[in-house]
Amino acid sequence: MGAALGGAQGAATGVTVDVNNRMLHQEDYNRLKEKCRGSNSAECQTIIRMAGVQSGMPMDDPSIPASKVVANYDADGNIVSYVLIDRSTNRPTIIMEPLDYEAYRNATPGMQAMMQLSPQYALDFASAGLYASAGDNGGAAEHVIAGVTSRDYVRDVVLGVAGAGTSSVLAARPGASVRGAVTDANFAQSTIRASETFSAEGAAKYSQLAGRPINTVDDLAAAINSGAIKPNQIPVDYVVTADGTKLILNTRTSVALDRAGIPKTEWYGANQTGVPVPNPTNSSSLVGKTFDDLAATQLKNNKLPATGTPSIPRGKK
Amino acid sequence: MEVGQCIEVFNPYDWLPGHGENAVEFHAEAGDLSVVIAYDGPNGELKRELLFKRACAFYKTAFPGPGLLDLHCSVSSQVPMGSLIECPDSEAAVAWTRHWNDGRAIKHYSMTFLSENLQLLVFATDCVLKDPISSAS
Repeated sequence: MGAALGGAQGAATGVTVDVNNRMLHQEDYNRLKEKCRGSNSAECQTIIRMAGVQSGMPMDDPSIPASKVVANYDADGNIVSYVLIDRSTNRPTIIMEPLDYEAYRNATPGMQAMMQLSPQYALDFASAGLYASAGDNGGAAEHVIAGVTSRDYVRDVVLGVAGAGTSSVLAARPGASVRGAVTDANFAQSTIRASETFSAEGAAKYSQLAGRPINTVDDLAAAINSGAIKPNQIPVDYVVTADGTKLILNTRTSVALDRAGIPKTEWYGANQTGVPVPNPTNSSSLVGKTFDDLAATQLKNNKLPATGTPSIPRGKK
Repeated sequence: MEVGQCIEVFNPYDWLPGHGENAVEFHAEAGDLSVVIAYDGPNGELKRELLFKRACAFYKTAFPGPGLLDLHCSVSSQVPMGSLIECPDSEAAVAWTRHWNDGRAIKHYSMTFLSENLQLLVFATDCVLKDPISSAS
């Protein structure tokens, strides 16, 4: 893949207005391309340009383990798009322009899996974000329009899931705290310690927030109930596994939120998928480890399956 | 200084419950470092002492947290994250051994306490894990 990836990387780092970033599920692309016959609209020019005039051989990209990658070229030999081929089904799944491809290959496997499953309008909003960050507000606007005019988006607005759909993409941004992000998340731990105390670090953090000593899960639940601490001040970390399972890492905080009667839809979640675990002593056993590995360790120590458990972890109560 | 590869000394989750330790206490006495780990047993809280002999240096830090030490590690390992590890190729351990004119063979140990959010780094000649006792005793 070397030469092709080098070209894409160069295009991404030297962003200009000529760099486009449309990303489409393959079936949506095929449908749009069919409709674009005879049309000269800006979107159709993009759709047609993405097809290129020739394709390369399927190649491996270590950053995208679930797929093979095919590059499409224009008449001048420039890469105009990439197509991901699912390894298990051998079918094309997503076609994307170079800037989106760079963003995709820099995403974690969990994020990549979510994008494969995201509705088209969510991909449009993601592309709009890339355009905006590349300084091309016109391109961003085009993709926002593509998103909000999507039939799927309108349907999901009616069903009330559009916010969740787009936030699932946004929530994948490491560290961002999003309400409802862990509504469907499971736990990587089945119990908490009998004393239900926080670690010294956790107690210090929550005591500072509440303005009074917070040592136990019940202390935190009482602070939440009294309004001294709000759920958005105590986001729980989570990771998304390759199969899309979300796993919560902050078990005691979760038990306190539950005990305070806060529904999971109101909890705030911070996606730590693919984020390296800070390793203050550079311990060899933590080198290269991410929060995903931390979740896997919790699952193993608790003898839980890879999907964790939906049950609120047990304390002394 | 390069830490190098590590080997597992023991995995505390062989005897800890899935939610980990309840507390960790550190006592430096007579040149040794005593680390007392409290945890939930089947019939009440238990404690085990991990004794680092002739500990010439140790460093305890909140975990996760920023690094302050001139240590780096260029090799990853498959050792579980909560295990006590020894780094036999550690340049820091070699430096400590030389400091003692090769009279003490200093080993580089490290352990992460996942529930108490602590990381421990110890340079000592040896370590011993003692049998569990009741916290009430």
